[in-house]
Amino acid sequence: MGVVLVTPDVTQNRTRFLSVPPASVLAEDHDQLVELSCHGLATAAPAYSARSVLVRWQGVVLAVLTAGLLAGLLLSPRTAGVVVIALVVLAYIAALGYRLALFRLGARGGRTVMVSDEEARSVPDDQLPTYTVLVPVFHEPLLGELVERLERLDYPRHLLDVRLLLEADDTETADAARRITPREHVRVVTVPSLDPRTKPKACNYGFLTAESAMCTIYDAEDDPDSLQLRRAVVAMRRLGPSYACVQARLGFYNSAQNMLTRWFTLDYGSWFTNMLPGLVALGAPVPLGGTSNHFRSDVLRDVGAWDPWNVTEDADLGLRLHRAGYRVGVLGSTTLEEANPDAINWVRQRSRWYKGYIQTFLVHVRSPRLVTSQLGARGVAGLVVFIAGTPLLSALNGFFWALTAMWFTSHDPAIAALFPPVVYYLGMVCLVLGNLSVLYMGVFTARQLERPDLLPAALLMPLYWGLMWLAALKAVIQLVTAPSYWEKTTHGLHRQQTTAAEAGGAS
Amino acid sequence: MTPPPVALPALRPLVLQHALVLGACACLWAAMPRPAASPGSWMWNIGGLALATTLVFTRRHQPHIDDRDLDRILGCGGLLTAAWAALQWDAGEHPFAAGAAATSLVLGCLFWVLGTRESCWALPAAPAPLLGAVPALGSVPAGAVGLAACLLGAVVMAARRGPVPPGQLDRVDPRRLVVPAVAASLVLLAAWGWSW
Repeated sequence: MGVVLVTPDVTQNRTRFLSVPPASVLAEDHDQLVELSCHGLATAAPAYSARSVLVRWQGVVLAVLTAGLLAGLLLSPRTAGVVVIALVVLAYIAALGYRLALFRLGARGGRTVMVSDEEARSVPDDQLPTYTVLVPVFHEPLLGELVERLERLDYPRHLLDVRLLLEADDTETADAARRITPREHVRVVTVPSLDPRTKPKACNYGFLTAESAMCTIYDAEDDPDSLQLRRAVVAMRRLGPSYACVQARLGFYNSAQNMLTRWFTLDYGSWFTNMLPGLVALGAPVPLGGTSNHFRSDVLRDVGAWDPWNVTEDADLGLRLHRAGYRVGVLGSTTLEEANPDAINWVRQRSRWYKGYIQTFLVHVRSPRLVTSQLGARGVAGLVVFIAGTPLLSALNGFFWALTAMWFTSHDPAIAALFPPVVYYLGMVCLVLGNLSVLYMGVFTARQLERPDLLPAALLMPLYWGLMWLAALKAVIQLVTAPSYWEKTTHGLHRQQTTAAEAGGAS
Repeated sequence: MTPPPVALPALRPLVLQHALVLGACACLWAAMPRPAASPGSWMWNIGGLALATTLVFTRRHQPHIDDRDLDRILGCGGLLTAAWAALQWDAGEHPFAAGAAATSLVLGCLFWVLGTRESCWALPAAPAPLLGAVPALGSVPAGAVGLAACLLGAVVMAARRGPVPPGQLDRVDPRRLVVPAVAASLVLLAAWGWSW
């Protein structure tokens, strides 16, 4: 396979990580297609792939830090404890400041690309690009419903290429696929059952043989805005060639199902309405969401598409695009999907995201000097504080809550000794102002979404943080025990629970 | 719509397994040292046990999604909290400390052995023994009210949800018993004043 570049190719401030043969060639060469889908990025640009989580120097640094911490705790536990807590408190303050700044920047508005219905519809068909819609599906018996939802997309059918990506051993979905009414623009692609068995591998396999100019992904449960493809086309033209992708907003159609879905709605609302536009305003890399990101296909090929070894391949791709010299915009169009209504399923999903964030951070700081030159200081700050800080500080939350509870219930002087005055007052700032400001963000988001019914959920957000802590802790543990394990989120629970409730009512 | 008939022969061993685990947890709860319990507090405890049993053995419309990592994290949390409460508050002297330590110990074991989902079903019963441990609620009239409330809740729950259907309960893996058994023994020994 002599098609991949070993050294990233830089032209016009844009980096190409992978040189992929034309789609028509790959369509004929199945072995090469499989190889590129599974190992393309890892072979051509291993520094950008999560195939191995830690490089040598990272392993050494982690080992030295761990040994230093253990030695400190053995030789002088109090001093070591104070130093660690002081560093963590400083990290909390930095993360809080960064989040507040992002939120403020995002809440000002003006960073989301808005395309009106009229403008979207006004583009003549002959000026629209060909568009590939990738839909990775796994154990999805209701494929027919999914296709019906995608049929609502307002886009000329002769320019549309919908690809349902099925795993070869997924007989349940294959049976459902056979029952779909055949359509010219919908094709079923069977992805070989080879490791890594992940969504990004399936996306690569489906994408690399597509000849379209633009490409997007939807999940099986998604219900996109019918004009979203047209809006994305207009947005990309408006933004210009420096933009490789626009990320549409995600919302939920079952947001009122229970308290968890309400919290999730606020979480996503804040993320897509304020945080992502804030990142755009700051010029920091934008971690993409799992669906509804609309790419220029040529750029996606050049940056190596999705890393099949990364469990948050979407966030990783956002960073890789930024490092390659491209920007990501936020599109004012909403895809509705299912909010996870089950707490255990939610923890599994969130822990995968957190694990992927840490994985992504470790991948992108392998060459600190290079990444600083590619992202700039603000971008690196975003990478450290936002991508690594979010899961790691969430994982530490439980430790500090436990310390607080232990102090209030025992007044143990050993706990007081860990907090000399400076650390104590900074910690109090985090505890009081930090928690209040995060609560305020929730209330603000409820107001912004014009959803007064979400207000009680916004005020009860600390309980949601408890779930976040569990997910973060699980992520950190799993990063050590199973770094590339893809924890599948079960979808369709909204439907199942509605059916069960109806059955219960009927009986 | 008539609910499908329950396949009792297949269900019975599973119910028995889970009932044994709940029974063992009740024994752990009782084994925690505590000052002489008032009759009222025992009424709360019996009510809590009845409610927990009903909550576990009634029908649930929930997905069959479990997470072993989460079970272990929560199990460790419960066991560590029990150890902390028993040692720091001197469970043998203070009824509420004993109640909190015993409840945390039971929850830790339940999370580890039965898993997060099933333990969360029983969770609404946890306040009953804690309330019984509050000295002001330990009188016989207060205990009778607590017991009546728990039993009423259990009856309403059983009538509304119906009995546990086949497929809802999983077989208890015996290997899951080892860690909580050792940890619970250590916590109880520490609570009884054994030092090493």
